[in-house]
Amino acid sequence: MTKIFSSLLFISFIIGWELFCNISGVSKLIIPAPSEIGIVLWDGLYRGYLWLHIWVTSLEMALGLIIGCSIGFIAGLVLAENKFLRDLLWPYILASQVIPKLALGPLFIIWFGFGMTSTVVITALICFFPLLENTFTGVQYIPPEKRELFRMLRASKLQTLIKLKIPHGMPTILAGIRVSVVLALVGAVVGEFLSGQEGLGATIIAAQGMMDSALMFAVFVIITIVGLVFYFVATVLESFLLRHHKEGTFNGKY
Amino acid sequence: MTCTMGFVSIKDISFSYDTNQTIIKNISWDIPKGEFHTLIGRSGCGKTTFLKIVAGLVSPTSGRISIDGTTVLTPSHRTGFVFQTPTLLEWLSVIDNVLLPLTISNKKKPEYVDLGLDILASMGLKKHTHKYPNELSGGQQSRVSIARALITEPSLLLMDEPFASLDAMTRQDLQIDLLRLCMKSKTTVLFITHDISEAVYLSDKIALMNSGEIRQNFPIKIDKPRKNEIRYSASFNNLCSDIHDCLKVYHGQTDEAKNK
Repeated sequence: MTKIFSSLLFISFIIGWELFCNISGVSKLIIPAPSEIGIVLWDGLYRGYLWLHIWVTSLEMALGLIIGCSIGFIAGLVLAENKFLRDLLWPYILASQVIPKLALGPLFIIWFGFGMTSTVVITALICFFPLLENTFTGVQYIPPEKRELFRMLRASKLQTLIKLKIPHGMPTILAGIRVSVVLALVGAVVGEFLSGQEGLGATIIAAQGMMDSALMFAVFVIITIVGLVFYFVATVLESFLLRHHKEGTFNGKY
Repeated sequence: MTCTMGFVSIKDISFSYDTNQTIIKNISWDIPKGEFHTLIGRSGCGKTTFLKIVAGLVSPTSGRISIDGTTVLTPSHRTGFVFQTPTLLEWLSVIDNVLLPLTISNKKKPEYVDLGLDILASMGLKKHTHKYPNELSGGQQSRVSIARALITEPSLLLMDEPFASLDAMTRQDLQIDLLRLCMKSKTTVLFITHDISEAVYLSDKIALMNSGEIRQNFPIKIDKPRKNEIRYSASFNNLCSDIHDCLKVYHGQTDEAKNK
């Protein structure tokens, strides 16, 4: 029922927008009508002009996510397991995250040149911290009885990490991936603003140059869909990996 | 029963977190091989801490514990532990949970898998072998945790109020299963509970604990194997009543001492 109301709200919004553009006479440079955005979107997709940009942004996003999340996951494990390294490195990691990553964009362009590499580095840097933070938290908060069980079984530190801490912390770790997915899209698009010649961010900048607001809105629609697809994949992955992760203790049934 | 005195030998064990607060005071206890001993006492009297000391999870401030002549300093592969909650790993199937101790010690061989299946079958869990903990009831989860403790065929089984959260009927069923399995494998058991009738039904000897001290011992001279019906006999209920009265007396003394 809620889904029907949600869809009706969306349809009402689009109709209201269309009527507003037609009745108010507002310039289509400022707010283009949904019908016009739809035509530009269809044209871009039908003629294949937008597909290359969708592919480039998706690839940058995926690469940034994989690299950033992998490093964040490993760094989270290392910091959680090694107090010395945690005390040594944590202030620097925190300081590195306080700097807005996008401010580093121009520097990355000098280092890696214009194009995909700079954007992937920015995206990876943005995705790194949520995974580090969530992995660190997830593997640290293990119920005392489960820790004692592994001590009783004389499990090594590595066995405890692999067989207890990582699986137990998986819900928190995967929540970090969901946050990273959203941030990765921001990283990829904004990275393309700065350094991209291809991709949806670069298309927005090109549309701005041509004063083509309808194309900009069409790209916004695509960015939203790309983001939702990535988020959906992350939630499907999460549901699969956590299919048995309900509380293992007494659940009220006899 | 082949009894060798002092299979588990506990000598003058004390434990305190700081000098002002002694949790365990000079406990000595011998458990002959194959016997089922129970420590009973009110919540917070130090039972769990004592059990963890025997397990090697906590080091005593003073005293010595040995199992079959070997001093306990750290957890031993000869000791099984059943926690108050089932403590199952929810991402592993029932059989994988049972085989966890063998996976950890790299001994997961086909013959042990068969042993795991046998133990599960003897606990009425054969059809749940490939299910996951969240698909089981509380009683079934407790059975799995006992099966996991038994898979390594430990010579000493330590149990910390494992049936505390279960209803009376499920608890009785589990007590019957536990007693049968332990008699079959001649496992020595140190059991903790605050349920007097559970202690009397299961045990060869009950020790009553209050404020970190063993105040009184009750040998239980009821023949084994024990039928469920003995719970309703006059001698069983008299014994429960005696233990209850003692607990009440010692608890009253503790309250008086605190009020002074």
